[in-house]
Amino acid sequence: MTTKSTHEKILMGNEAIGLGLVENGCTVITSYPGTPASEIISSVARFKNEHDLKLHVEWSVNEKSAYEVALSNSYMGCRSAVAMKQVGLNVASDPLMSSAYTGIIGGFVLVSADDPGPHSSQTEQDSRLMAMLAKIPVFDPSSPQEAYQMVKTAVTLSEKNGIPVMIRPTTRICHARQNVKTGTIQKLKRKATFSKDPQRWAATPKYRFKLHGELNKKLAQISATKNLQPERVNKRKKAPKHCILSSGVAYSYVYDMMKDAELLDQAALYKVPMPFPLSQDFLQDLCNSYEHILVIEETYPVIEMQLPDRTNVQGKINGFIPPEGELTPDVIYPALNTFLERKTGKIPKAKPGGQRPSLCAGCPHRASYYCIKKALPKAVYPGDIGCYTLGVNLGAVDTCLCMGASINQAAGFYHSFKTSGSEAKTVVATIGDSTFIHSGITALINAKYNDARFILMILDNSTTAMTGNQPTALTGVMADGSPGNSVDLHGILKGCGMQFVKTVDPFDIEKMIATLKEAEKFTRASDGGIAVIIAKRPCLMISEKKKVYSVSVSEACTGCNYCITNFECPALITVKDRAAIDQLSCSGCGVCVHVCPIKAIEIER
Amino acid sequence: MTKKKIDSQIVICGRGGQGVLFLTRLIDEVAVHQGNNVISSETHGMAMRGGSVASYIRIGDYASPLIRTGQADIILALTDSELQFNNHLLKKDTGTVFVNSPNKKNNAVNATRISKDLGSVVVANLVLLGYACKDDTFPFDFSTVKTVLKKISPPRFLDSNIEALTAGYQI
Ligand code: SF4
Ligand code: SF4
Repeated sequence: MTTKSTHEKILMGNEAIGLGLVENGCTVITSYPGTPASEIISSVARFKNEHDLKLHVEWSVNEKSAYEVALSNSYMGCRSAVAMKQVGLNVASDPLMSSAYTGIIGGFVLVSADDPGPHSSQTEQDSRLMAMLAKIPVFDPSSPQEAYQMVKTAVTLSEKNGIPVMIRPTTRICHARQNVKTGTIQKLKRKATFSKDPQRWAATPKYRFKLHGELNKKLAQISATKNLQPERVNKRKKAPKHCILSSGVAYSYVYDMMKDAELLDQAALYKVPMPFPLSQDFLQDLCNSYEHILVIEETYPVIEMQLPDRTNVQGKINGFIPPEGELTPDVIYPALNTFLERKTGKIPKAKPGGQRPSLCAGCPHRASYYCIKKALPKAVYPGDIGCYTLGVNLGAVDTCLCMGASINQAAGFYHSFKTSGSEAKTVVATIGDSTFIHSGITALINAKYNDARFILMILDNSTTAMTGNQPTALTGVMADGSPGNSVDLHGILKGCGMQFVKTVDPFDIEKMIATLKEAEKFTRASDGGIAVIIAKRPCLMISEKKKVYSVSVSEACTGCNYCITNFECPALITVKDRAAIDQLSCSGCGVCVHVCPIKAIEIER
Repeated sequence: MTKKKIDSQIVICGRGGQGVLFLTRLIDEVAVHQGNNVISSETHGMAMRGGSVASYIRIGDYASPLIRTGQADIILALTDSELQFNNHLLKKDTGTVFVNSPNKKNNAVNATRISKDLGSVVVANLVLLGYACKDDTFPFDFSTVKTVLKKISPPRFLDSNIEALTAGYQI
């Protein structure tokens, strides 16, 4: 972040949100890393250190923890925020639903970042629908500048009505950069006080009914607030027959396109800042006033669903707008033209394809997966969420469901083999250190309790790599860089009743393979159980960049391509029909030496 | 600060880890330095592990961050093979491509080789940018880019960054 003048900065959407939270006096701000939301907390931590602010910023171990920690600060009358990606909100949905009923005292903002596409997620789910389910208001910013301003609106609205408020940016807002006009940081100096009110904070079902009624009243009041309802951007005298309702980044595309093609007088364009709760009177009026209505929004038809009369409505429900995938300008443009009864000229097609991502050259995970495949080629490999999901390229990841699922799925596969009586294959689950802490521990307790048998490899690279190398509970460094406490992985495993726990360096190929075989025996022994292997080596991004080995390919290489297809190290390339090593990207891990079937890859002395 | 009103849509494509993000930030800053509005879009997440990545920069009066097919004025391709996935974005008659490539073709420069000669692979992005600055179709001039690069480079990379930009410009 650099400054143009004191009040204008180029900010990424996530930084703009982070700055908004800090400027509006939030004092507890929490999150679990997840693309596209990760940079919100790192920017808050930076602003905290830059301005020497008294606030607590934390990387929590999961989204549920993050939500509840931040919420409690708002129970105490102070302002707070929690940020996560959309699937993280699934994890935090329990406190979300309940806190809508209890409400809050100090403003409470939930930022849930969606990922239409999806670019870096397992679903394209729409957090606005979660807000609707929870019955809380949700804002849908159309630019980083607006995201920044909406933080203020959201905090104020939350505090005024005693209700959690969601901001739902999408990837294209989170990771857009724009010159943003900014303000100054408020230091509210509020004293945290807990006013006991068991009928609210500890409400039993009887009082919950009452709280639900209050929540409905709050929503009715909010939907009746005029300046939060859709606003016509292109006010003109004559009312056209066509109307377009749009929110989020999709609105900005529509606006730019209409402006560019001089169509702004062809239809009434309404921007929807708060897709829920919408005023039914307003929507009814809209349905009465226009002959044709088009709704353009990401990713589910949330605004569209609320329209009381959809006879003349085009959108996702009738398939006029594609109901899945990102709404890029290229997707919207032809739909917009058809709606406005215009022709779309021939648009050249984008060439499909592109390079798929792969683990870094010398990533310890690649070595771990190589060993698993080598030692136990017939096993089933439930996987998890992180850089190591890319082990799928190596054929060593068979499933990827959601955070922490690898362990439960390993248990499920085991029980399934056992009860059906089919040949019981060995099951090897892989999970990263951060994901294990996030939701693997309870899964392991469940597996132990219910007597499942499998191998669990914890890929411990001492960081949350995929999302930009955030620290974890095992490393103990906190979000703002200050020392916290590290938890003891071995202690956890011991507490979960694990009897087979071995720590192996994945670059020690022979030892890793031997340990995997030993682990398999343990899972099948009469007095055996779950075998845990900790594959320990730091992620390249946080380790010292020094080559351990100097590796090269000898004349013996036959050009069979085995190493390139099966090991997929980006530093292994083809030069003149033979394998070669791109010395500039090779990290010198030496693992490929073990991969070549005829030993043509050598360590140079 | 020299004001210069610019209207330009720029695509930067390459692979994760090639410095697409740094180049995007640099161009954003140069645009604002010259008194323009800018909105750009970056790729983060899984694709950054060596996958195809692209940034879009829109300088001028734009509300949204993506570039529609046939609207880009400039493409800067840090990997030749990524160009094919982005070429459709280029304006048909007036668009210009600058590409890092060992092959001899229009507006191609072997930025990777020059960067290696300078002792680092990671500055190929700046070599390509320096090269683009020579061209009349490119909206920024070398000295402005250099000034801003000085401002935003982390101190330990400052010298090698400037060296790379200059090397590209002097081709
Ligand atoms: S960032 Fe780290 S964990 Fe991720 S692929 Fe690279 S080396 Fe592996
Ligand atoms: S030594 Fe081999 S496996 Fe390791 S980074 Fe270099 S080429 Fe890749």
